Amino acid sequence: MQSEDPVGYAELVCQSNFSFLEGASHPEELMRRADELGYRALALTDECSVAGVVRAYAEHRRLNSETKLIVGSRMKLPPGLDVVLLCPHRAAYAELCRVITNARRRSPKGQYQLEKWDLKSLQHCLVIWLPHGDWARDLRWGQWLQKHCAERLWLGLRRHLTHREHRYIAHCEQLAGTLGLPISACGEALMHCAERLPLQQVLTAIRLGTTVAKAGRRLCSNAERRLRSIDRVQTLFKTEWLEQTLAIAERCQFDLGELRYEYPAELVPAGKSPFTYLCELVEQGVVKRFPEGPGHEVRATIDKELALIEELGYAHFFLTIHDLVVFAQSNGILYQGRGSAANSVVCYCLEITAVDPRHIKVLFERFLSKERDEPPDIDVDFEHERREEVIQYVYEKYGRPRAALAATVISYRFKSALRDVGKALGINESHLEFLIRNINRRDRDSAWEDQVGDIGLTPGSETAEQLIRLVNELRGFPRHLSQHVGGFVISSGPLYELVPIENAAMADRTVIQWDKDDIETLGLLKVDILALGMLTALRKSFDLIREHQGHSLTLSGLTATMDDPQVYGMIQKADTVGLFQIESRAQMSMLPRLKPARYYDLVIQIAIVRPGPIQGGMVHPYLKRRNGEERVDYPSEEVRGVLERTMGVPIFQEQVIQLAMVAAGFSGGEADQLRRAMAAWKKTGDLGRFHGKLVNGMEARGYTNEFAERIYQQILGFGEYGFPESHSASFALLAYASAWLKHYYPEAFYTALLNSHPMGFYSPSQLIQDARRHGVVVHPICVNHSDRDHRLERDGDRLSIRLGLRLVKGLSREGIDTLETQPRNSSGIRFQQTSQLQHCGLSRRDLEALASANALHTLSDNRYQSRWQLMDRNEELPLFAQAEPTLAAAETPADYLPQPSEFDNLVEDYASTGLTLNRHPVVLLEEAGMLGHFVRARDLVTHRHKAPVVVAGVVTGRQSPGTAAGVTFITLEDDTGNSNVVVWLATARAQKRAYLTARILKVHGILEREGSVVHVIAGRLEDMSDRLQRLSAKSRDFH
Amino acid sequence: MLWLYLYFPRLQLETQEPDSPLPFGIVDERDNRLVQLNDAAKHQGVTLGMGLATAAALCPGIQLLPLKEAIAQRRIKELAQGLYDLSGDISPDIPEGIWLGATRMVKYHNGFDNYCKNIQRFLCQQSLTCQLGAGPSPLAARLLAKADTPLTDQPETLAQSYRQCPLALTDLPQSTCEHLQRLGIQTLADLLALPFKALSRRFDADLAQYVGRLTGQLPHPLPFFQPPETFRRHRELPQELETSQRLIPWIERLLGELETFLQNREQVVKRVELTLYPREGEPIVQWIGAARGESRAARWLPLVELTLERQPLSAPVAALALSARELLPRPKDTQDCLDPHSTASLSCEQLVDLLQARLGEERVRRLVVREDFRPDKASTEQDPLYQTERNTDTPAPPSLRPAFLLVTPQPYSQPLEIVHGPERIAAGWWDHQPQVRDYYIARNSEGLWYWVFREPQQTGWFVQGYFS
Repeated sequence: MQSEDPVGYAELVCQSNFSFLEGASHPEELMRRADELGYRALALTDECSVAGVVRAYAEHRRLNSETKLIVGSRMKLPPGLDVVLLCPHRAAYAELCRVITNARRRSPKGQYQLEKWDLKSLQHCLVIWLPHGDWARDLRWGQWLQKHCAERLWLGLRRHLTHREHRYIAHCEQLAGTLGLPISACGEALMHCAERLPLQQVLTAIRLGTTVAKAGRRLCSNAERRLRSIDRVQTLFKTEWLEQTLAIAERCQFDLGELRYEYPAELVPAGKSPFTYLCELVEQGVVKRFPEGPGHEVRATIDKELALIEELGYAHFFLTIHDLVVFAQSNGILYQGRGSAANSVVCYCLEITAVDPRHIKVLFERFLSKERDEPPDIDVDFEHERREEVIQYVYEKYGRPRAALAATVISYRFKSALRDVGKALGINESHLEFLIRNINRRDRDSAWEDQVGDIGLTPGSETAEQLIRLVNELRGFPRHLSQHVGGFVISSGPLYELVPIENAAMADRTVIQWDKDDIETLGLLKVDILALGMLTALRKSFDLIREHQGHSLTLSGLTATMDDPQVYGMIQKADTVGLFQIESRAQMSMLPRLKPARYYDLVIQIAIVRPGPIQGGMVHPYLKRRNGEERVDYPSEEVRGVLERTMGVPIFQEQVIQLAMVAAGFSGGEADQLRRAMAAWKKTGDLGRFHGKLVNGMEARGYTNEFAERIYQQILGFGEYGFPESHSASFALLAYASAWLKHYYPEAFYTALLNSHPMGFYSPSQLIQDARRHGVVVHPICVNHSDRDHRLERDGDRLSIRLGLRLVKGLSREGIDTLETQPRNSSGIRFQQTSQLQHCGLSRRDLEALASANALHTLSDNRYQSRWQLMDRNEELPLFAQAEPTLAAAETPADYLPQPSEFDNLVEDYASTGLTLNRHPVVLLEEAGMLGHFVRARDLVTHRHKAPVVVAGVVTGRQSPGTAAGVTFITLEDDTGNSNVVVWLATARAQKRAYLTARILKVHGILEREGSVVHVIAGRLEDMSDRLQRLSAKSRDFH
Repeated sequence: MLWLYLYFPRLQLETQEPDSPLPFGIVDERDNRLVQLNDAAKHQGVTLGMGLATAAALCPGIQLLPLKEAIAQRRIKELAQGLYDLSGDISPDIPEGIWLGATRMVKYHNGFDNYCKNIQRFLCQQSLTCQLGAGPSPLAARLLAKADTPLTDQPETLAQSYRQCPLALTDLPQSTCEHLQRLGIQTLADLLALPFKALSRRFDADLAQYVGRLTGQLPHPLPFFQPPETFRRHRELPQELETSQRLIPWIERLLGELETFLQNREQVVKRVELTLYPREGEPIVQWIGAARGESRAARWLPLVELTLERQPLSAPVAALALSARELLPRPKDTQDCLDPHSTASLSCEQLVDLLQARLGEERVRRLVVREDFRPDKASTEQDPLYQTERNTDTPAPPSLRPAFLLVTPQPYSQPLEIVHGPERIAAGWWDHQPQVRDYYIARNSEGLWYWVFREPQQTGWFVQGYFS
């Protein structure tokens, strides 16, 4: 029946930028545009992928759009077959996921390989066939398709106003006639609007590895591959072709919201419901966690939590995580849960977390909430060296078809965008590289756009403008899918019926095509299995303490009270090298100001020294109020309820969300959108849409405009850096545990830290210096006494650290094994002579590495000679040496090899192990009179505030944290400790050379003191690096 | 033996940017480090070996050029050619220096100092920074040049100087230097103090060879520079000749000599230079080219004749010269002899040679299809023998295009019947000549086929071409 109204349109072939380097618009943009144009439906059909469709779906929901979103995918099968599969219903969707999974799993990451069988096996998907243009080939494929997909097949006719298009149309019509196929119009869109054409052409050039100018006719010849207005579509296509699009759209009734996730069944013993089983486990935990009985309050909380879990149907989620931690427990892997749902009495009883609810009641109110409409959040951190065991356990338990990692969408960032666009525009590559390195993005005074002059572009010129525009457009475009750090999706049936799975770059890893936001959008649940170095260090500390001191410690035992004033005393002095989370320079400078004295202070400390609160201007008000210098007041009781624990200053991400709800009247769903927009803000800059609603909402509830604007600014400042309280709580617990160990068991703690390296903030050299400043005795590496790892040795009644062979650079794993298995004599010695080492199976390279590390110091006092001796090839052949005994004996290396000076030894120490136990370079330089007058780190405390001082030392750190715009922290190390130098941007700019390249620096500056923490604000910087060479020359003059 | 080494620390930079006041640097793109710098860059704190990131931070205005050995190679060859007048035994050390065997030359130049002065004078004219070093062996000379020690020919001083050099200045691989440093060996003196036998038990033969060559105990053969051969013949005419016609026999004879010269060497030339000397005034120079390279007088002669025909003599000629540089090996391809038709017809190259000799070189061009949607950019003129590279994945050139294209589209206002179209072309933003046009194939009332276009939001039609 022909209606009088102009016929509508549904776009059935459309690719987003998840068809990498082809589509030039985000899925959200396409959805929005289709909605604006009044399309009846939009099918998102990325090539062998549904990675972008959830984003379009989220946008669809947000817009409450009447344009239907159809899930589909485009597939190519060489030679010459090009089809689009659309999902009419759930069964078809499962089919599509299976086909994509099969095609993807056959190929390395990022590629796919479709086979005829995949298409033959289709039972449900609708098929739109895009003919190639070659009669014979198209006829063959058309007949083949018709045989296998007869009732679900259309010929998709595209019009892009290209060369000879009239012939292509005639060809298609003839094909359709011959085969008896209906024709459906399609736009084959790659962009949401015509303005994206240059970016699309740039993407094509990037894909072809050439420039836009050279790509020539391989580019799109015009902007017709966009979502076109219905008027335009009507002039291009016959009405019956348009009507077919609507007919197809009508058949597609599948909605992503239908996807239901089912938990694996095997976690629950037969005959029990998940919830009753969970209750049982919790009861068992109650007995263990509260031996004296839980008390009324705890009991009431447990009941409340369980009721909520039952209501929301999350019992399985807790059981899944419980199963993981039971595995970790039985294998002696230390772990700790965090996240809003983790901070619950239920999780405490299930031993998912060690945070005792009695410490931090306030957190437990935030458990799950119906209103907030967000999925339960529990991350579990495991020892970083053993997380793989947990991952393998998951794969083994559930099988690969049912467990896969979530994807992380790797997007174009500024530098990658600049590099790729620049190349596509034909800008010289070394110039680009130069610009990329040159652009100091922290130097906010000059935007990168102004620095294009440096690559030979005239600022303001057309090319410069194009570059800037295209780079800004490309930022945030997805580049490829990578694996999430540890987010697993586990299901009861095969995952590939829920979402396609593809290969990750890492062997034996597979990822699903959705990232964590997509998973959240669809209400699927994931389990985060993360790795944390500090847990490794803590577990190793416990092992060492048990072995050497006979004390059995556990994480929950050690953090049962968390009230030791001695431990807080150490933290308040910023004596926190090696501690979890509070060891960075920025954290250290805050500790004496915030003076944490109880657990919750640590929770705040960890969250407050973050770019979010700092950029949001929350730090100073909080400190002032804490010190009683500023009155704390609240505009309303509701706001007091949210902010009281942080003295009226929003510090945690949760507080911002709560504020939006209680003060601006956001619904739970809106608040969740705000949370996600905050997380993605850096990528999309999409917070502005909340501004009106927030401010108006607050004003309507009687808050001042000023208050509302301030909250909005704070939300902006939080951006993606806001830190949730629920995570900070778990981190604070680990911070306390590490501080406690450092205070009471320093030898074991430092040894465990060093054995868990690489982790944390400090190098082994810095950790060892810190240990020695705390009176810990450290023994050098020795072929006779050292093992692979650092270990504790008992000297009489006290413990000391023996450095391990793992520090020796260039020493192979096998070499260490060989040394460790050498027999020892009665006094525990492996070797009595240097020459014995040559016959124990070590490679020459290993021998030389050991000699240079001075690991033979008990056998020879000259490492040069040891190395020389071990390099001798004749010595490797004992028979040969016997036959010519005179040859070996004739060598007298002492005659021609120098004795290393103290400076030589220092250089060798650093070169071969990265640290020295001998005198510090600063001492040697000072002794040689090369540094002039300066104040040592230890003595800075004796100088008054604002006094001019000179400090000098080895530059061990240059940090420009995002938390402090324009400031660089330089750490200068001398023999007594570290001096903290603050360099302001202007100082750094004026003295670039010393600032950027000095290895030994002398700084003339002004001392600033805040409590016991001392900074030097840099004035003049003096590069003293050349003194090292002079010292080297001088030391040689004396030997 | 005494050797001299000329070390050019910024050869490429001074070749490409001889006297720029801007800071300039040459980057080795393999590791993005700076390997040559001019003074302006050094003043801003940039140092050799510095990474791009640091250099960028120190001197945002630095101009960068990628390291290209070919540039240094060409320049060194030119320098060797130039030095040939001053010194024999020249051995180019690409890409940074030249060795000169000095022993014989010192006498020839009346002493070492004089010899060095003459060389420095030559280098001065080249505007090149150069460090000179002398040494008893080629390696010692190079080492001292790099160390920039005062120039002398005193054997004792030289031996002492090079022993003081740190290992880092030598040509030993970095790994060997590091190995030695880990033994406390920092300078050549330290190294040479080691017993040779003990050393060879611990290091590979390369180190032994280096030490041997450095100290002169082992020979160090160097390839010496040979100036390229050229052909040049000059003839004074017995009497002045006024027409080119009369010159031809003389030229033919010279071409014959050229043919013999080339055939003896199995070589060809692509270009000959004919110089005609009038009694007074400037000589007239004519270049005659043969695209494929040619040796035979019979082939050259018509080309010369055609060239002379185009430019009648303006004054009587008293002498003439024929020269040919850039001798090339004779190409293996001898198609001409094997192809039965070759005697009857000209090869493409020969035809081009003839046409160019007749019409002038710049007037014979080839039309080449280009990868561009824009009709006015879809083809371009090229050198007549330009070979197009065909990319396998390049789309075939559009087939529905008129044979006659207008250089500038003409407005058209007569009624037209549109037959096909539009074909929309939106391209060219990247070279700042953007076009958005809708092209149509149309027919006028007389049945002529036109290729016309109009621009969106613009009125008026334009003709781009005519179909035949």
